[in-house]
Amino acid sequence: MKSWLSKFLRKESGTDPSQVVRLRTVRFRHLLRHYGQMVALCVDAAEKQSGEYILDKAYVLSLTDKAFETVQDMIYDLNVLAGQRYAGLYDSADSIRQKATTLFKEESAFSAAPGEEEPEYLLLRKIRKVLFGRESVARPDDDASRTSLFGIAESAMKSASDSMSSLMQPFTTLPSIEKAHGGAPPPIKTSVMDLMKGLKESEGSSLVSDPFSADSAAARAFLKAFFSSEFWEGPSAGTADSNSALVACGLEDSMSAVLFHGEEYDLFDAFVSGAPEANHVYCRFQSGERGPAVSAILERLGFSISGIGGELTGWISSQPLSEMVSRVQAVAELAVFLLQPCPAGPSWKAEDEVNRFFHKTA
Amino acid sequence: MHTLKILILDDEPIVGKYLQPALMKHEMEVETFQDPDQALARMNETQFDVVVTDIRMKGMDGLRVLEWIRPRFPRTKVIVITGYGSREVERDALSKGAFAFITKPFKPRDLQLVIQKAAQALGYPGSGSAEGTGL
Repeated sequence: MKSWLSKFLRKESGTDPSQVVRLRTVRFRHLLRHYGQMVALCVDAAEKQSGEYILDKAYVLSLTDKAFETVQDMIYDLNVLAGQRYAGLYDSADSIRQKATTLFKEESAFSAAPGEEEPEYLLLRKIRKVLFGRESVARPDDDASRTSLFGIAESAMKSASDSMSSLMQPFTTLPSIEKAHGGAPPPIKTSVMDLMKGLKESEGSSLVSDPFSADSAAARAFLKAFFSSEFWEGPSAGTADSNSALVACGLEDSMSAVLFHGEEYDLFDAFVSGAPEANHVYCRFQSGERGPAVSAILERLGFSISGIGGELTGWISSQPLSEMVSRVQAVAELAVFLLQPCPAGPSWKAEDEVNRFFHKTA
Repeated sequence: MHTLKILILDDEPIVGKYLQPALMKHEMEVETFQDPDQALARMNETQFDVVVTDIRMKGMDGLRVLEWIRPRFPRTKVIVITGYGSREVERDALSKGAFAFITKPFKPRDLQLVIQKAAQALGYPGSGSAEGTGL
């Protein structure tokens, strides 16, 4: 199994298999950082809209330029990651740029009657809608339906996440670790790779047999929380989908993990170091009907949340190491939480689920 | 206690509209102008303690206003309003004798604190503060 996998990856890229995984996870993380910049711009613009700030058209122009530059960078990263399959997103971004340009041209006609919003705030409000306005997307594959720039950013993240899950999927056939929490077998099939060690065709020695010995602190924190979670116990325990499998890889201060369950996947990425400004935790959940509970849990944990359809994503960044580690552990627990059916059955309530989660993880 | 006299110069109406009432709450006398020529003419009539001027304006820009004020009214503290991401302009303003700069977008409270520091530099501790305690 080790040799066919190596051949699969080498055939795809002609390079050392571990390098492919390493390069792709680094590129994914690069794209994530740009996504974080979009989130920060969105938050900053909302704050400036509050009316407490004196601002001018130059700020709105600068905000617009930065947002488009950031999304261009995201589209570039996505196309590097996914083999130039998403070049059409550049055109989508350009058409939105046209809308913004039109608004700036119209701005000179804005004037405020007494009691009305000042032209600068009105311009910011309209530009914010073009840049960050959220809409439900009926057809996720239809780029033309992305009427805001942030929608394009979300689309890029979705496509990049799909690419990462496709990258990791073959690794579910590798040998699972044999021991997890307390020396017991892992509750689901789990493959862990240390990308610093690389993949060696003769032994598959990049595979880590002891998940808690991985060099990456973020990977160790995630795996420890995942396997030791109390949500594996209780009335619904042991009913995780037999198709579930976890693939995790660590590289120095970072980790990536994909939890496959049936046809779907959850995805996690973290960079956790002593430099807060470099740190982030990103999670992507197929939350389905439990979306309101997941959203409330992530919000309480301090994540910025976004969602389309049955998927929810959470992003948090620029926190000290200890805060980031606790978030990594929390999303690992949440992943286990969601693998188990809700004990309350069809009549479950979001508030009860939120309380149940935090009661056990406190 | 001395009542600070402030002149605000910015060609964007929103600036004077928001700043004047906000600063007057802190017991300052505030006059606002959108036209640099009118502002300088007024300065020839009345001594101002602090002048707050935008950098980018049609006609005379804020750096030229600063260069006009400094030799004529050396005691007047000039605070320059700069735009997003204009580090070079900020350095230029300070080298030409600006007391401080503040970058848009900003809250009126942020400018009020800078004005209080200017008041202290002028020897008016406690001026420009509603509580009269200064910084």
